[in-house]
Amino acid sequence: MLSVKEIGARWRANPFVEYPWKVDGQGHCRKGHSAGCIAHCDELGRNVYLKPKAPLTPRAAAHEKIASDLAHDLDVNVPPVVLTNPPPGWDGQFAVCASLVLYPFQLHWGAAKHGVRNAESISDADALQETVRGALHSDSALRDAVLRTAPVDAARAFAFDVWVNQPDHDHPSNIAWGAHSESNSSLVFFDYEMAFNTAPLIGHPPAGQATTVPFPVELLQLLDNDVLLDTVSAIETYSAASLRNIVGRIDQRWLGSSDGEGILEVLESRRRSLRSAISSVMEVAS
Amino acid sequence: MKARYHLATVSFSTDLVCPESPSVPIGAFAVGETDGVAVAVLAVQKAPPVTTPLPNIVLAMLERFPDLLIAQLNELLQTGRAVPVDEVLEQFEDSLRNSFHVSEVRTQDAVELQAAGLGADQRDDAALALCSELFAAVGREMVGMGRHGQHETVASPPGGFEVRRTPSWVNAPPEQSADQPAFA
Repeated sequence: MLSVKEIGARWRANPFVEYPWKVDGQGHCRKGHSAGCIAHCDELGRNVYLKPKAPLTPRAAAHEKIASDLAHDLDVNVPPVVLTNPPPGWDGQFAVCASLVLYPFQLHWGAAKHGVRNAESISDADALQETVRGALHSDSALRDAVLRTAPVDAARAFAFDVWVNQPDHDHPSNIAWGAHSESNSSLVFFDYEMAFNTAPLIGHPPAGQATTVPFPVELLQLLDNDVLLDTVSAIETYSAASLRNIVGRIDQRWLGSSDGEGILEVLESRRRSLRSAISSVMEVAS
Repeated sequence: MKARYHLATVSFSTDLVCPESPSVPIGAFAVGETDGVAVAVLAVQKAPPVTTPLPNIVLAMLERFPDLLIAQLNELLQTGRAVPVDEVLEQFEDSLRNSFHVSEVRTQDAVELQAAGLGADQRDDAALALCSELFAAVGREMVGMGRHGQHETVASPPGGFEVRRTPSWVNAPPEQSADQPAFA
């Protein structure tokens, strides 16, 4: 089995890799707008999540790939993604990507926070403690495990989400708590299909009106401010050449050139206003 | 009196990373409606038939799984509005897409219910009859999970199973259309 680091490096270096995907065993399609499914191949020896069979936008796979490559460079916990060939049976859908499954055990943040879609805090007192306690009861090891890395993971992801205009992290399925063991767990952030917001999206405001993005209230309340500001700085100083390379190298079957230019414009303009957008959110949160 | 309900099988992946790792059925969830009255029932194996050694943190989560799901459902129902059973199923599936996941959904469109006349009123009667049907549905599903190997020995799961239900709630009766039989 290849390591996450090995696969991540290979996929960061190559936008497209063809694999002989097998869909069996756990490979039943999971619920979700994109109707993706778990797949694997002998070369990787690990499961991936293949999507989208039913894309919400024609650029869905390209969006996933761009977000993952940027996250890789900025140390945000988004799974490695590669553009790839579809598995057998996905007739008519060629613009596919594979997202590496990172953790043996994964629980949606929506479940961990004991909430439902778009729900804000369920507590009228101490939102964080009450929600974590509500889900995990008095098991301090479990609670501590969830909270151990959440401030750092969430701080990086929030700055990143604001930058790439991710509108979909109010959905309970798109953030998970992943665990190898009690002492080795993290929050992991999925599903950037609707990021970059260069076209109107159903149920979400257009790009020009958004200064920030939806994010779980419970996570906003525990962000590590130093990490948040470090991530903002890293985004502000991120190489424009790398940005252009990540977007520009994607084959036009996944992303038309004018769409790519639109994404670059969104990223360049949003990082200029990123610090002020983040500051306004933090003032409200505090 | 006819009922419509969804029956979902809930499974647990012992290792999401590993292709050879099994996805094991651990529970059943049913949500249904009759005469505008709806209810949901959840059954989960107390001792999931997982032979793979799991970290304590995962075992603890498995143990708390029924509480977690019932709490989520109750929270959904506390929104103060009618919640169609299709939406409840959607929310349920949405919250289960990783280690815990919905592996199969079946829908029964017109199951005949017999009211026993034990409720305080007609609506209460309907809720009791629906509850009884859903308990039976998840019970059959759970017993089916006790089949062992090729012998198909039907038995309850080794540790038994835990069954919970939500309070019943009231939805507007479905509108009658020309090509769709009314719930009666």
